[in-house]
Amino acid sequence: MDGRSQRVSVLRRLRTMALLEGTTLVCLVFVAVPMKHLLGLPIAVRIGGPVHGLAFVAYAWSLTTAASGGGLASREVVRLAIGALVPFASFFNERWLKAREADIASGGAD
Amino acid sequence: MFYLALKAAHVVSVIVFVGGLIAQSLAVANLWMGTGHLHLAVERWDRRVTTPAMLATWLFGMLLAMQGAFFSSGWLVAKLMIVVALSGLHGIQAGLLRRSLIEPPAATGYLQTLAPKVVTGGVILIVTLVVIKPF
Repeated sequence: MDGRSQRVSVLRRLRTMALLEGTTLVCLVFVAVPMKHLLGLPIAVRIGGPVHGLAFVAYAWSLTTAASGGGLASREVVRLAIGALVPFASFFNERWLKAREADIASGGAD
Repeated sequence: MFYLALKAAHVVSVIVFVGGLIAQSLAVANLWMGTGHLHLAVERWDRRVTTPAMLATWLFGMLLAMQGAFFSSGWLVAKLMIVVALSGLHGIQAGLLRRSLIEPPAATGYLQTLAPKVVTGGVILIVTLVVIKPF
């Protein structure tokens, strides 16, 4: 695998994890937590909590690997890290990563 | 207390032994295959075995903590901080390994040479906290 393919592969995995993390965060905050407090169904948080926790760990690990592998600038790492904490922000980061991935794949910014 | 200390010492010994044995096996297998690039074999093992094992560790650990209602315990909070640090170290080293496949590594820093000792120290602390539950 050449350098470009590897960078694309790292960004693609990070993008997948961002999507997963963002989706589980939205489900937890806007579905499971209201179900617990409004409907008295704590089971949703009991299931959604660990699922989102695992997705968050996987995303944080992928981001650390991508940063350490030299594929991201410090400012971009901060942007991607903050995006994991704010509901819906991961979806914007996912679009940004997709554009960045396409750029590298077509021989642009590396 | 003595029983728990013995148990912690036994578990630490097993983990450190198995970790070393896997590293040794990769080195020996690499010698016999004659590729001369140990980091390739380690990177492949890391991708296929170590990373899934790390995620499984987090999943089963969270389920265990929920099952035992341990999240308010001091020992678990202390242990979690070490686990986060070790997971971060793994992410950093996985990135460095992958980078080494496409470009020669930059000059090694002193901190990187300390990693094996840091990991071993982390394992000793984690097992002690989990088995003895001192606070």
